[in-house]
Amino acid sequence: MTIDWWTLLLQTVNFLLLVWLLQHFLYKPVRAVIEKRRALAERALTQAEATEKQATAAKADFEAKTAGLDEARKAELKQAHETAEAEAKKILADARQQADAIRAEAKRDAKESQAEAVAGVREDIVQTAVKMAGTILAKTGDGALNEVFLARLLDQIGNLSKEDRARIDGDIASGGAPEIATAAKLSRAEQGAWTKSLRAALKFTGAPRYSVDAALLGGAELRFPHATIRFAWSDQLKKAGEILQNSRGGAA
Amino acid sequence: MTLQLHPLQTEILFHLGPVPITSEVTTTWAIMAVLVAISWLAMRHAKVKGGWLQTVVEVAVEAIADQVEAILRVDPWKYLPLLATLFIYLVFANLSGMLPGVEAPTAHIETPAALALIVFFSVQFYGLRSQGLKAYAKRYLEPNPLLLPLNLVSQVTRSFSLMMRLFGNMMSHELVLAIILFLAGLFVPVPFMLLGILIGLIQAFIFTVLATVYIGGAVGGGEAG
Repeated sequence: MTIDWWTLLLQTVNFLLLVWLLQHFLYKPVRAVIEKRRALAERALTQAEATEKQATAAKADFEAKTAGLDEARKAELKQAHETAEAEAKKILADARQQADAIRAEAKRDAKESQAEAVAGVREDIVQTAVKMAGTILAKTGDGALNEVFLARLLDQIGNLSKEDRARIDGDIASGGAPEIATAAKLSRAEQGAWTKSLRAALKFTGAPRYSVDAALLGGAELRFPHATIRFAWSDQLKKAGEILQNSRGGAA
Repeated sequence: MTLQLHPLQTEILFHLGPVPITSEVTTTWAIMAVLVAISWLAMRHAKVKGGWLQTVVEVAVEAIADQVEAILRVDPWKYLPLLATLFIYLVFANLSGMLPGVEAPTAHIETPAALALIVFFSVQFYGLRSQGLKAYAKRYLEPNPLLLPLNLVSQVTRSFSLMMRLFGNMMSHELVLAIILFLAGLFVPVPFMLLGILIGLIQAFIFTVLATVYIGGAVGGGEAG
């Protein structure tokens, strides 16, 4: 076997030349395209990552906003609830106050009505009692009681103040005898006794006039032009009724 | 188809001055022209989304690059011009023998020898460049300086075996084809020609892988030793 050295050399050169040619026409362009594709892929990946980051940030932002909204909504809800509760409490308190006022007013009205009714009843009772007492006293009048009435008149005359006595003395001096009114008509004997006693007490000389005044119920009234001396059961009954009414009213 | 009954002899087609131009040289030139033409056509308007030819070429180059990277464990693009060209050229050269009237350049000793020489010097070049003279020279003294002669011999013999493996397979295949054709007729060698395609591809692959392993050993690990 012989080796053709020229061919060996030519094939070596040919191969090295082929390496150079393919480096120029094949590997460099292929690598450039691959690098370009890789760059595009990396760029796309970077963009995708950036987009993902943006999306993540947007999601986080949205979640934060949603959470904020939720919190704000809860706060508003709580505030509204509190406001409504306060309003309800206030309305309830007002209603209670109004109810209390209405109840108090009703109570007061009821009390007043009750008091009025009681007072009316009491007045009726008192009036009835006074009437009954007057009727009884009017029917029970007799000579003994007239003497008592005279004695009470004489007591009153004896207890007159100086001014009242002077006024009566003046009336007696200018006009004569007084008018004597009684609830029941006095007999002649009684009129004589009364005249005698009263002349002695009041120092008048004329004949007094006797009259009947049923409204007195019992007792008598000495009537002068400018003065009156009176003792009547009607006054006593009236006083008793007033006292009775006042005492019952205070107790009520 | 020219029958070569003396396969170890080179057919001289013409002379360029004192330089005899053999058929394997002209075939190599043709292969070079075809490869450059395909590359130019495929990548002249290279785009990110290219045509079918660009896609085929890119897929082929990337497949080789992946294979080289799997062996070297480094960026393959630094070594790709040599190794990919080696593989592509060997595929085309080995399969060129299937064409009527064409002899595979690798079926003659000069072409495998030239490629083995290139691989041998490339291994030294890449080893020196990556490790430096001292570190690279030290490798020849390992594991024991006494083994320096054996290391040197192994460097030569593995390149020699690279050459002989390729040459022997391709030459014997062509010789067998020629004998069968001579003895049996026109269509009988067809199954053997189909087998020749497989042999051509396998030999291209083995030569390239071994070259890659040698370079890898020189550059880094020493697994090629």
